[in-house]
Amino acid sequence: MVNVHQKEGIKIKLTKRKIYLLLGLVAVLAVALIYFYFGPKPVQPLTSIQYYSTVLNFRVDLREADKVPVYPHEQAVSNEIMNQLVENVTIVFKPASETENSLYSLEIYEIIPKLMMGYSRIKTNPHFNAVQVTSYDNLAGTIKNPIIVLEHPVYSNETSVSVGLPGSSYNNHAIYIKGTDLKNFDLATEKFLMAALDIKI
Amino acid sequence: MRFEKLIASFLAALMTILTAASPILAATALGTFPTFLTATTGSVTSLNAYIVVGKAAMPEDVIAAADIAATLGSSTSYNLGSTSSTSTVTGLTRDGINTCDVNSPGVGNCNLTYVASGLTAFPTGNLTNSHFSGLQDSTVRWQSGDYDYHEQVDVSGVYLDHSLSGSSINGTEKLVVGTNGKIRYEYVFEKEFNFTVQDATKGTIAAPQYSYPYKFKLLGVDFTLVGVGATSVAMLSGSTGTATATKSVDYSGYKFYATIGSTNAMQVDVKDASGNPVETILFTGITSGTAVTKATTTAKTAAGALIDVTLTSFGTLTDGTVIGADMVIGPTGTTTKTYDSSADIDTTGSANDAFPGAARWGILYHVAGTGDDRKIPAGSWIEVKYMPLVQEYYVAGSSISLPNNYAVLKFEGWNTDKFATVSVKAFGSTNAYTATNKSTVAFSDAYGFEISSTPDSIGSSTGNYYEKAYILFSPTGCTGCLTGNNYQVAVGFKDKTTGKILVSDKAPGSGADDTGEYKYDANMTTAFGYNFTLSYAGVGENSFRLSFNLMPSDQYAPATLATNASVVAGVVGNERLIMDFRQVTSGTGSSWGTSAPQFKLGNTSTTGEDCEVTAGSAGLLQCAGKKSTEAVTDDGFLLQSTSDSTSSNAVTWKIPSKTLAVKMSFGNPLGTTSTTGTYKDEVVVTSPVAILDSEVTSVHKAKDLIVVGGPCVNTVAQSLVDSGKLSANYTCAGGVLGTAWSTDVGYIIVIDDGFTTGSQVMFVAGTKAAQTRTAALVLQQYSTLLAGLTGSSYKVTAATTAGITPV
Repeated sequence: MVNVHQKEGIKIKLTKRKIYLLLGLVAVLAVALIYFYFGPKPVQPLTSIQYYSTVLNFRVDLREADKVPVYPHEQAVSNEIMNQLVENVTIVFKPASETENSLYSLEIYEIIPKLMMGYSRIKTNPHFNAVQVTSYDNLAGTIKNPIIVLEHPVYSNETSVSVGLPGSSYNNHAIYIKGTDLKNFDLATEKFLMAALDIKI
Repeated sequence: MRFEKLIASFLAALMTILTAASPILAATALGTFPTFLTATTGSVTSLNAYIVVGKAAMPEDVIAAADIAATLGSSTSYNLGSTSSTSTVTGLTRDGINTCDVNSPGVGNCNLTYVASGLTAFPTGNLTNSHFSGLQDSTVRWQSGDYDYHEQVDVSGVYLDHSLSGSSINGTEKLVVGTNGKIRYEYVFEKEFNFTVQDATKGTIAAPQYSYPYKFKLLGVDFTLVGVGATSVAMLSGSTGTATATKSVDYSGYKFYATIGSTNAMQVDVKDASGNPVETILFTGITSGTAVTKATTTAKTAAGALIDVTLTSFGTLTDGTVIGADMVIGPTGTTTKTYDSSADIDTTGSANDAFPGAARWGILYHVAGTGDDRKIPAGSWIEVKYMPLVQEYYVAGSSISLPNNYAVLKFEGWNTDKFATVSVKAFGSTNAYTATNKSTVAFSDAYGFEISSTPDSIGSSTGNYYEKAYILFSPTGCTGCLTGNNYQVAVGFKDKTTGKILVSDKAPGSGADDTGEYKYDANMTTAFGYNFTLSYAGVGENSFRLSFNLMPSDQYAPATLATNASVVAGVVGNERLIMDFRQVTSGTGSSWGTSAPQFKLGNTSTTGEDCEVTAGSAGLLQCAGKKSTEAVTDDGFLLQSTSDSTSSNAVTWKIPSKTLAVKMSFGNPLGTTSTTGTYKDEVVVTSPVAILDSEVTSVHKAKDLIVVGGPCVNTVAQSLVDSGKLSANYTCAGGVLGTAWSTDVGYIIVIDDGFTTGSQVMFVAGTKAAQTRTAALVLQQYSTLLAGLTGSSYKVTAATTAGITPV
């Protein structure tokens, strides 16, 4: 036992057990501070990136979007959509209900201006148009007129980006963007843009 | 009463202030779209806006979204700053190429790099993207790989020549292009290309890779590389595309549809431009990925050739529906070709290696190092070379276009367009007046020579410049002359004010000579000379000399008043344009009598001599008396046609304002600085983000908003009505439409300080989705339809100027 005496002051009585407890507490605090300052930080959503001289803002977290699968691979998307042969890009959609169609508009606003950034880099200026279809079957684009197929969540049971005719190796020059809900549809759209613009995170 | 006056005065003052302040408080003009939606911080210009999409949307609203998005995309990539908004295709122009005579320094040294002293000629080596931005230096992406390439043009084989010998040149500066590849375009593979990356069994000449070909452009024309051998390549060319039953691939006015197919058959229907059936081509026993070519039997090209249809890959559904059929269409024997290290453009049929649409340009393949099946070694190139049947000659102003008008090599002309035209001719009879009083006749019935120039470029010995000068002989008042070989001679200049020829006051018969500007000799017994200066308008960078040297004639005894004139012009001290005149008659006594002087060009009495005019060319004096075209001399003169000189006894030539050199250009057909691209320059911007009306927060409201859709479908639009920022006429409160929606119209309205002071809201809506789209189309054509609009609220009934009216 250690007795500390202070004249006309506070008397603190420390036992070995208390000293060990105090040291332990200090150690825990030190570790916590070190972890706080140097430990892994919570990942912030990445919604904005520098694309050459342009700042591109996205609707959703690109890290999350990056997880969306792309078939057969991301390069295929870029090959198909971002080349100097492209003269016209047609965005195809199958109307849903009046309250659901706005999702298409949302993605179109997301896709077109950003693709145009990419096209300006490769010195082309293709036209864009949107076309409503009654079926996603039998769609055929061309090298010069690729198709971006937006499959609304009400018609889709998966979240993905794919190039070419589903279930076939035949390239119909169409890229299918699918999402199972609003968020996943957003994620798939952003993943498509990441692939098209060759954005790596 | 006084109080009422005070109120009235106050209101008047308020009105005055408001009137004065109104320009400052003026609403945002729609004509400034899309600039008013941007913000610039430092060098960064941002489209400072969110696009607010209504929760409810008809399909037409979605289609309109594409129009608006394309407009905004264009705006974001549009240069809103002060620099050019379109990219410029630049070319190469050099105006310091030496005029050349191949006799010296020789053909090999007369190419476009031969530089005139102190000037700049074409660069040595190939012309590349750094000289003409139309030549690509880029990358082709193939199967997950980037393949760098660049285009270059070799013009080192062409040369300039103005030799006096030979009918093809005849003294005129010409660009000479030989017959076998003096102009070469090259597509250079900077990186090894190998079909094995995709499939080790395909990509040879014998087994082409049709499913994953390498697609690229030669001279801007689509080519498809499907096979590579050790020294050859197999390529497809022609009109390429994917056909279905409703989508055609077009060629030579015909439309080719793939109407029905299976896994091993395809029917291609050919229709004319009006849609009338022409014929049907049936492909059977085929496999997608293996090319099969069939020719038409009826449809023909404009040149009368049948048309080949090469089917490369295709996809069909089990019911026969064609998903797509990739095909290449062109004249018979042209769609699939194998090219090796030589180009045969004179053989017909499939062996013909001519570039499509350019019969005298041949395609060949050069292997760098060791070639192999499927592999193009790095540094190899595909070449397109010019192979005219005979050597060609191009004069100033003409040009040679590469195939597809991809680039033009042009002989622009000279390095200056300032030339003075100078003539020397026999002249008389005339009167000449004393220089001082301009009214006393000094010489009458005078003969001699007139030197004229346009503009005034004839300089006297004292530095004055004139339009016309004279060397005159006269018997009038001649004292002590007209005997033996003596003669009386004076230099005269034309006075523009009086129109008279002025000579020395001392003539005639003054007995005294004058050596000034108006040189005069009353009784020359030996020789008389005068040097005129030739300088373009008197201010040319280069000056030349025109010397008259007169000698008494001793060939026409009695040679009274007879003289020969040796006239030379050129660089001072080395004049090499020589024109001699001889007097072929002689007078007697104090008047010419019946034998007035007659000066004939040439130093003999014979007419029509080739050597009546001689000029320096390639360092030699050469006869130039019978040239029917312009000839370039060593002095840098442009000697004009001399074929008529013998009859007119005149010689005409042009002098340049500075050292003569050739101007050549290589680049865009429209000029060296013209814009050809329709693309916009990428600039520093921030892209917009679209949000649903249900997602809008105060953060978004702090920025500019583009609200798409009316209050019935977009709650943000209704909130503008509710806050009074948008007229109640536009309401949809409780589903009841305001009066603005009573007819089918669209609106584009700019609302200043919509949600936040300093931020704008652009409202784009229509009664129905179709009208929203019409408004969107107007935005898409903002540069033509909105330009100049000063108001902020407009009704849109059609995407035309007339369809846009103020609200």
